[in-house]
Amino acid sequence: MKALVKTLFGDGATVLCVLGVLGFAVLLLHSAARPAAGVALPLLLLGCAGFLARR
Amino acid sequence: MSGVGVMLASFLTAAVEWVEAFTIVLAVALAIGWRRAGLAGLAALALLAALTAFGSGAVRAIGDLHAIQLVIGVFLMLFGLRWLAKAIARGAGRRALHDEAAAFAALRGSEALAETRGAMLVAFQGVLLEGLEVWLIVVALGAETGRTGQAAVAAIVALAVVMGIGFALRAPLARVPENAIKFVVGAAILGFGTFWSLDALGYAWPLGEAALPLLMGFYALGGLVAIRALRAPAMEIAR
Repeated sequence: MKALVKTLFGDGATVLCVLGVLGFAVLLLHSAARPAAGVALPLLLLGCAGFLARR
Repeated sequence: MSGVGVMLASFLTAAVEWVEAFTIVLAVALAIGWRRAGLAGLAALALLAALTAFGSGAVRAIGDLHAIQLVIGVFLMLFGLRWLAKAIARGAGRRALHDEAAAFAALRGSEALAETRGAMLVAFQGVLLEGLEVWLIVVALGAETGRTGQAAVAAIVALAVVMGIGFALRAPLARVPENAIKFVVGAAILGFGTFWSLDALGYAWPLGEAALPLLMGFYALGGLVAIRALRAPAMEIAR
């Protein structure tokens, strides 16, 4: 079961990164900085990839 | 998005996963025979086919297109981020490259293969767990683009190619450039996930669908930069 969950969702850090970035994107989309979401989200996700690779 | 893109992403994802599944089935087959190992593997494939049909039907039944798009986008971001991060870590030498021959040797020495039923369970679970990532990509890309059939065909072709080469060699497929494929697929899938998630949240991409290849290119280039930045020659490599 644990292997199944990990296969579908990944580890806790990956889930937290994606949910955190998505939450930030929602905030951004409801602010004046809305047009920047298309740049901010990929940058944050790439930062997450670097962080996860560095662990 | 073109059918070629969906098929290519499905084919590459499936090829990586089927190589790992073949290693497991091969180790089991050498312990209990091809017939029993093959039956266990086929049972897992049948379950995956049923899950694909069920998954596509369930997605269509939901009806709320934005909700479906967001869920699919999040799943693809989770998947793509995981593969890209793993490929960066391995490319930078921070993690050992996946060694199919070593995985095969470890499984061959495992006590789980000593008993027939246990060995069949190992083959079934192995094919099922490796295949679940293929299932996820086929259902997600297929549901979002309306090309589930093409995505499934690409995954089946990958299965045929891997099994064909594997049966011919009767050895683990250790020369497949697994990390390079994971890097490319990770960047592409993360691109899909980003595009569809923001789209579902109401963001209008300035370039429309043309933003998709740009996102993929951005992740690939950024990943290469990250590999260079994280490279640490004297670092102990963790498995």
